Amino acid sequence: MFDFRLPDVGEGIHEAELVEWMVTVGDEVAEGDVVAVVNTDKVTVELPAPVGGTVTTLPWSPGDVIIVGDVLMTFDASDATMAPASQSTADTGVTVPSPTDGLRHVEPSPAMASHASDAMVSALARVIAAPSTRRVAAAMGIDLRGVRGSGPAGRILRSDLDRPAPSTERTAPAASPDPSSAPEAVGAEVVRERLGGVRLVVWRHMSQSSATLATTTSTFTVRMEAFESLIADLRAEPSPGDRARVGFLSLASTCVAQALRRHPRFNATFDPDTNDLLLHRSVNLGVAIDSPNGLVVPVLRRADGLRLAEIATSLDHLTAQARSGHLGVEDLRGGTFTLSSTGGLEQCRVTSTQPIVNLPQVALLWMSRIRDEPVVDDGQVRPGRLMSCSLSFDHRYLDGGEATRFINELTLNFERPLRVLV
Amino acid sequence: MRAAQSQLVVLGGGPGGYVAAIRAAQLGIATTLIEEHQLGGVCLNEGCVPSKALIHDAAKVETWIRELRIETGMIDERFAASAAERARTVDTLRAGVGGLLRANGVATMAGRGVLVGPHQLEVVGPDGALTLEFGNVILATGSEAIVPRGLERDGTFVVTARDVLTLESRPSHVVVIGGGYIGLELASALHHFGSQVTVVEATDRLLPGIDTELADQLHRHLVRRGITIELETTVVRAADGEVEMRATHQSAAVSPSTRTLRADVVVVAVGRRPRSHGIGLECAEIPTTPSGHVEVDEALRTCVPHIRAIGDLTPGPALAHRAMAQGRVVAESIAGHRVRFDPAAVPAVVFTSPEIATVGLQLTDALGRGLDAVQTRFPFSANARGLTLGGDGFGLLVHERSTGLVLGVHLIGPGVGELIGTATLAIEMGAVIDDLAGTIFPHPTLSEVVGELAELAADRPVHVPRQRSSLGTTGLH
Repeated sequence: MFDFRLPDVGEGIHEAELVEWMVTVGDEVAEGDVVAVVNTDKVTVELPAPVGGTVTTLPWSPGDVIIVGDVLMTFDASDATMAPASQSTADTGVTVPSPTDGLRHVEPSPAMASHASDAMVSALARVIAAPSTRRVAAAMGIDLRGVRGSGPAGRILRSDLDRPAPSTERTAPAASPDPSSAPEAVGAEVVRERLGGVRLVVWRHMSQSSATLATTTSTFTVRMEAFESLIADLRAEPSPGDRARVGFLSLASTCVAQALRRHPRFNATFDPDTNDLLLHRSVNLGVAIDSPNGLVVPVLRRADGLRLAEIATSLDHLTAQARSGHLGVEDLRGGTFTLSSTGGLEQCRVTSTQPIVNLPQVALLWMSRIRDEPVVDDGQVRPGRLMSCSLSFDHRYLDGGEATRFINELTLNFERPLRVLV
Repeated sequence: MRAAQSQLVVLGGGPGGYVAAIRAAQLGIATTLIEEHQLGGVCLNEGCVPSKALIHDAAKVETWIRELRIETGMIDERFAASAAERARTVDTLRAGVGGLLRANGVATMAGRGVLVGPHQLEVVGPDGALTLEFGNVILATGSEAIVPRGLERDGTFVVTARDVLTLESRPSHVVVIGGGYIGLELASALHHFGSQVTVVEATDRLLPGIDTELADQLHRHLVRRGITIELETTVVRAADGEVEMRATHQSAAVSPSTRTLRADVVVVAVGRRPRSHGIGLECAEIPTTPSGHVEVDEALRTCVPHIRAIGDLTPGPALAHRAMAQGRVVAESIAGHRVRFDPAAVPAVVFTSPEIATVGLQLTDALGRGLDAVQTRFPFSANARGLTLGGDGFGLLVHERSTGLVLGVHLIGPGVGELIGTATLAIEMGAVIDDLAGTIFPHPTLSEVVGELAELAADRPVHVPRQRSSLGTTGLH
């Protein structure tokens, strides 16, 4: 028997949500066959079988959150031709212990004590959690009665809040064959969108961000005539066939990356353990992309050191990966500032937003579509091209004065984009 | 009529109301506080605060009488001086509350506020009447003493607890009607000042709601000190310096016993009821429970969501610290924070001599809920500091057997009011007995009792014999 434990599928990943099984119990699989699809921190990962053999147990259901190191599934890998590690061969008469034999076989089943706890908690008519945990739960809108505590006496710890409550929908149809008895599960009036996958990750990040940060937003407008004419000039230049065309997002990314270089306190993250501010030497620019799987923010690494053409190429690549759902864990990690633009989608005039900062970063810039607006030049009203921007920043670390100086720099870069190219 | 408006109006400046107003103002909400009488409410002006001053003075005087055998004249002088000091303390604290409100930008308005609609109050004050429009209102009107028919306060002979705290001369004979905590605190303090005290209680025990073992212990103490306690007895008449009472217990039914006592003062302390009448609840269509309380949800919303209620007006123990905690939550909730008032336990202290302090479930409550609960008992005589203070008193700790979860702590003895915060923290944190047993308490202090109780519960006591037989196996060694 071989226990396939959920591997660490990415740096710092503690858990993954099971999306679907690619096998059923009794299937013969070869080493490397995809057996399951899991979702971790915005990335969907296909898990290959580490050994060949027959699938014996699939203890989880899609939607379950599995901790790294837990037994994901088990194989009967006794077939010597398929099992490279475990060999019990009759012809030699010698049993070679498999390296996995020493591992404890863990059946994922509810712990005994938690059942006692359920009865106890209902008798107590209150949940067992410290006041600080209850306060965070209230802020996140979590009903602690649905959370299983991992502390002594079933005490709910802060870390228990990051794990979603066991989904009851899966068992509901089996328990009650009559669909009308399951409230709001089905029906013409209400459609339930299960919280999971990318939405669950976004949900947690946003809850945490709005619960912890002191977010302040400054909205400003910039003149974009020079910016647009520079893009037009660059596009008029002939370029090698494989080179990506420079567009709004690539030039804007360059403008922002160069501004961040001069304002390092905006190119920062905070250390959640010490609350110290960590200033980063390179600008790793997170660029928000609206993908079919929802909002993803791949990171353009060392954007301050890249030439405009390189940024354009990287962005094209990241956007394509995001749209096809092939971003890797590494593509999403380590951002130091986030750039968000809804300009491509707007068929209206969005003039400001109140973006929520992407933890543990401390600032985020949103940009609108460029639109026709009257402007005043030398006392004369003329048609102009304007873009609205909203800069959200964590006021715990950054002050209004600094933000204004940073906005001055951003404005200068957008309005005179040549300065960022030289 | 003049008109004004405020984003938030807090009706009542007691401990719940002023805390809510300050917190709301801190969160940037334009807040107006309306108080009919005095800032600080019953607690500060005529309840907890002055009564604790009286009790403290009384304990000092008791020592003088007992150990120094001082004369009656000096005691009378001290009683009068004590009243004056109390008044100064109350003035200082009240000014402090006013200062805090001002410093936080809360507008205060003197007058009586009555709801006249879902978004309007009429305020009648020294400057005339005014209509006040509000976005949100917090009802924090508190409670008032219940006056039974025939025992109406006249302020000189038949008085309430509030009047006792402003008495300038020491009564020599006092009858206290009511064996709850307010009656017993006053009885205990006045007896310390050398008054002869009789407590008359209609039920068969003192301190309803408190663990029987603690109430019985206090009963014995008070009787030993010389206080007369008449249980299952009611007062039928109090007038002209005479108190007529009738026993209601079984044996009395055979030979009805009506007795008459002479007294200088009769203190009526039979309980308090919420001040929910006359504040215009009907104009906002907010019902009250049969007991007169206003029901609220975890965010202290009444059935009309922008009208909130806190403190003694809401069901639950009528205690200042509960109202203050609700005040903080309600202000944050109005400011848009997602918060809940969901305490694991609300502690209570009875400032008699000896004191009683209690938090969480009693053994009988816990067993009644179907919990597998056990109780340990630790005497103050086994605690060094307890012994130096006379050795009287004990603690009870109730915990859940299989998990060790601390469910309740109940203490009687000197200064136990100062210990109960530790136990409350333990319950709020979801502590198990090993958490308490693994905490070092300073020696020699009374606080060690909390640790000793837990060690006993974990079946590894050092200073008293093990209680294993009664505990069963806890599996904790």
